[in-house]
Amino acid sequence: MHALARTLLLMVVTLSFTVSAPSQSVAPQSREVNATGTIAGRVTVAGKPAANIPVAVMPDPQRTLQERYVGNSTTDADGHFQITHVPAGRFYVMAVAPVFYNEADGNNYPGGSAVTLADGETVGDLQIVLRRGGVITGRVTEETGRPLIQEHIYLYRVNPQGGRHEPFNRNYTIMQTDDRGVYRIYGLPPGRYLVSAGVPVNRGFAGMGRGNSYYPQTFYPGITDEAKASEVEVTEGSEATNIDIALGHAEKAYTVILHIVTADGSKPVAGVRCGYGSVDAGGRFMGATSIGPESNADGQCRMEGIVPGKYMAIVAMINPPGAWSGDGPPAPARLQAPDNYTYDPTPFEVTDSDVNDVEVKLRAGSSVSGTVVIEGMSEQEAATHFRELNLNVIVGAPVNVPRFNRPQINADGSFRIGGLGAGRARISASSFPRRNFRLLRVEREGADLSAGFDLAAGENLTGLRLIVGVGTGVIRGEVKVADGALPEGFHAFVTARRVGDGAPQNGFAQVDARGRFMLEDLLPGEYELTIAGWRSAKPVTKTVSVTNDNEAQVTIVLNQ
Amino acid sequence: MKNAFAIGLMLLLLGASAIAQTTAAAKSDKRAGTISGRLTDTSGQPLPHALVYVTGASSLRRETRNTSTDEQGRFRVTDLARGVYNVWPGVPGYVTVEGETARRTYRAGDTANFTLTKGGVITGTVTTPTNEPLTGCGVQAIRVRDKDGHAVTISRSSGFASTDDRGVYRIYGLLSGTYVVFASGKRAYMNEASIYENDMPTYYPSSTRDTTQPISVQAGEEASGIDIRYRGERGHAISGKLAGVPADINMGVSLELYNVASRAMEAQGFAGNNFPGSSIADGYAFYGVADGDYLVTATTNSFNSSFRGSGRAYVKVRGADVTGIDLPLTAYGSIAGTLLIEPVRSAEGQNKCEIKRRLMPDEMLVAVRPEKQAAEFHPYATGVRNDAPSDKGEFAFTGLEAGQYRVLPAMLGEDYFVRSMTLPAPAKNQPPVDAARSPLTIKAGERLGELTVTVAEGAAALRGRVVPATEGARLPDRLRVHLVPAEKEAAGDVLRYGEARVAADGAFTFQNLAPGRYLIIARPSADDDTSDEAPPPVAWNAAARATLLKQAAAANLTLDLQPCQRLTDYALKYTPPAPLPVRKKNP
Repeated sequence: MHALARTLLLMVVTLSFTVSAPSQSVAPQSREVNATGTIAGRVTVAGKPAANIPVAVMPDPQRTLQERYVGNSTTDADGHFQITHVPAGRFYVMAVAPVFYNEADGNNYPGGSAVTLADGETVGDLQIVLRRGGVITGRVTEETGRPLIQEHIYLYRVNPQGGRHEPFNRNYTIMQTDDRGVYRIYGLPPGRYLVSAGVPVNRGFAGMGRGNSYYPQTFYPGITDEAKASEVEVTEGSEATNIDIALGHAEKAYTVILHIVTADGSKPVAGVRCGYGSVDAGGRFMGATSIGPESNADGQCRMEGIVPGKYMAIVAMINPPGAWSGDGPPAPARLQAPDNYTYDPTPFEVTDSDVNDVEVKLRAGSSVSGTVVIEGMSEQEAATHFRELNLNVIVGAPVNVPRFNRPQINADGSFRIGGLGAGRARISASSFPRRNFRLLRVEREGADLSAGFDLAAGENLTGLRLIVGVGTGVIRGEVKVADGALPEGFHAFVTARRVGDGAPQNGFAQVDARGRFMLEDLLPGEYELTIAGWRSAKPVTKTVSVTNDNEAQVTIVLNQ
Repeated sequence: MKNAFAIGLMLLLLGASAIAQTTAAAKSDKRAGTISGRLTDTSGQPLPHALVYVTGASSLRRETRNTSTDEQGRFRVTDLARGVYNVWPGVPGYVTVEGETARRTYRAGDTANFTLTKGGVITGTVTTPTNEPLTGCGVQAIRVRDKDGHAVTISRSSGFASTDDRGVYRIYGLLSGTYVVFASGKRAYMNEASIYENDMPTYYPSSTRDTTQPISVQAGEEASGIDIRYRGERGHAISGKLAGVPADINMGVSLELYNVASRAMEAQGFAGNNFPGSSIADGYAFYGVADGDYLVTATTNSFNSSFRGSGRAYVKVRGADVTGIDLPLTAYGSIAGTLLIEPVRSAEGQNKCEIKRRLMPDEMLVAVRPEKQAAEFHPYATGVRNDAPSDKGEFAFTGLEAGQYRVLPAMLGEDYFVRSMTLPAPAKNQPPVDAARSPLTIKAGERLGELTVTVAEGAAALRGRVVPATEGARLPDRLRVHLVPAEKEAAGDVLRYGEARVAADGAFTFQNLAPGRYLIIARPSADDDTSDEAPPPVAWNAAARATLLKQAAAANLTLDLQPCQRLTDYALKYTPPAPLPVRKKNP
């Protein structure tokens, strides 16, 4: 799933409190029944053909948000699989066999083998090389020996180069203990691991509402100092048992009350959601944020179970102003149009007591408004595409405040984005499900504001024209080696940059094992392609010309 | 849940079986309340470092004050505003010994002790048709009967686990009861692609829903060897559009798929405008559905939506995909009103009435219970919701689907009874409308805002025992004692009727009774008593009420209850009444 979609979805889940066990994707997808491509190959485990292994074709998450497999099949006794009715496009092919690991996946997201398929093409010899992963299992208890149930296990892969150990995540259901305190993590690639339970306070944790005590992170075999933790060795198919962790004393977590008030501090603001994010020593968000309760009629948000650390208060103005809704305070304390408000990031620190003096002042923000125009499209046609466009305004600030509202573009192309801070502002746009729309220029009264503009506090900058281009050009390419075939395990990626374009990159694709790649949704122009990631070659560049509705063919020869 | 039942005392609907353990007198200081208590296991050992959820029960004050227990299993939340709070222990793997009937609502000032026990465990393996372990497969246990063997009216997913590398799953923290267990392959998170997506669920041991072997498990026990041979047969899809919603508004819709036969929620999904490129206009789909009758429900998320409502559709799946099942969303309605407290009327009180604990409106609860729709299964047609009124007595229920509802005051303490429930008079010079006699009808989007609930001081109570008229005779099963107003003019006042279940030893209890003169009669209940849900009181049905009145008048046993009177040791001789027409339970 695309990272943005995942974030938004997680947010939706958090905010609507609808987390639940059984669920499935519901966006109906029309199966492309006329697709005629085929992907076939063989799965081996430890060098031997592997039967009954499910293999699935997944659409490239770079291209689409689709959450269903394009097709799947199961290997026969000789390890062969064949998936038919695959349309042209970019895919990942993967064995759906979580007890195994695929060396070729490395740290690639989403894992699996990249395949670029032309219309009606057959790929007949895809090799998926699996090995049985290792298992780490043990039991988590508290001091008295009582098992800790539903305790999350944090696993870190020891960095052989030294430096910070990277968290190693799997589906959360296998990362937690059962009613006996037992956990069992499988499918692990060989390596050395640190195993821990308890709250990873030093790694930007932002949990909320877990009561007012917590167990500090404790590493196997019962050490809070990460540097002294015992490493657990995992080899192919190994099982490390009795990796038991006894958690020490529970520590106290604290309550933080945010006071949400109007700009002059005179009135409380009810009905906005409060949260916080953990920040590093430099005051930057460490990624983990938590959105909690709504401010009450006194403008107070009570956030509980916060472990000691440095944080930044967050306010999410996500609720519509209440007509009488019965599930929030009556109207007077509510803002009439909360998305028009902004605030300065408010840092706070939790050390050894509750915190009750964090005041967040909401003030009318600046706004930008204007019209979106899609180049070369009639107004009627453009109107049907506006919902695929996502506008974003970044206003330079010491700390970026996350926004939770998606600005709407009206059918006539008009838009207004309020609740902005003051400073150097820059507008960007992205498009979904395809990335075929690009913001080309931002204009106002003939001036080009694409590179950014200054926005004063409370200013309402009107009359912006956002010119959006449509890219339907395609580059289909093949990578070859000067003298002969591509080496076994060939792995590379291609990036495309449009000449004269300010963006650092205008396209990205994996090169598949056959050397094929495809770049889509390209605006017309000259493109500079760079092949990289192949260990034994220096980056190679090549220039290609692209027009809309056409496919440019390119062959790139690498010198050994 | 079938213990004391008297109209006006609706504690049973709130899952409470005891009268509030109130100790402190109502405090004038609005912020001085404490709720404290202790979590222990059945052997008396404390449960330390456990989360306790404490949340304001008022829709106007959903204050969250979650806390943790200390080494001794104690917790204490101080500085609470006067009012009613939901208190619930969040100890993973554990359940309360009373199960779902454990009390959940407490007043600031109350003590909330919970005895917990390890929940039941169902464990086994899932293997493929070729007898290999199936890894990462989801297994669900759905509760179909409670510990007494009563059919569970709505079975939400009761437990979920994924199989590990050996194909082993372990579902824990289960309430005592009977479960159906199935493997579905679908993953535990939303919108994650699954190769098993199109597969029908495989029920234990390797069957369909109709032929599965149910598993009984008690809290603290383990049912092991519940091994499932996965079939992997392709199911069908149900899909359609969401209708009646402006497509351009920012909102999401949660979808649920219920099996009508088992009443189990089999799948959940989500459709929405909340992320770019996704739209309500795209509609919804469920995959891997077996043949059968289903209900699809859609409810808007509260997240950022100006429109809130729901829709549903009944679907028959018979050997093929079902398309075009559009869900028309209709706006929620609401009921709001005021709870008033009336002091003892001087004529009733005669200065003899001693009020044990005076309560303010915000220390009581108002519940709303959907009147059951007889014809069709609907999961929300059984849920009871509570609201604690404000200090001025205002309460509100939003998010109500169009339908009929009963409003039921609760947590009245010992000293209060429901005097009346009224709606404003339709015209001048007319009396207010009695809103207790029949359910309130809410149309889509309707806001009923002027309900007045009057609770009065001076409630009476009656405790006694039913004895057979002839010594040594056996009392019939499912016996109930009914109180019927003896005054002719009160015959139509539903609030004056009381109904209490008779325990095996003949004991019965009424509380929160209006003072006055009553006819008393014991008679067997016509209900089949196979559901976990308490049947609606007899007095809610006009015809049944008339029959009851006749029988009670024929039996001609009267008693007078004075304000604040606690009548105990009342002996009621049981003689079978004249035969009653059998009242069919809703299917």
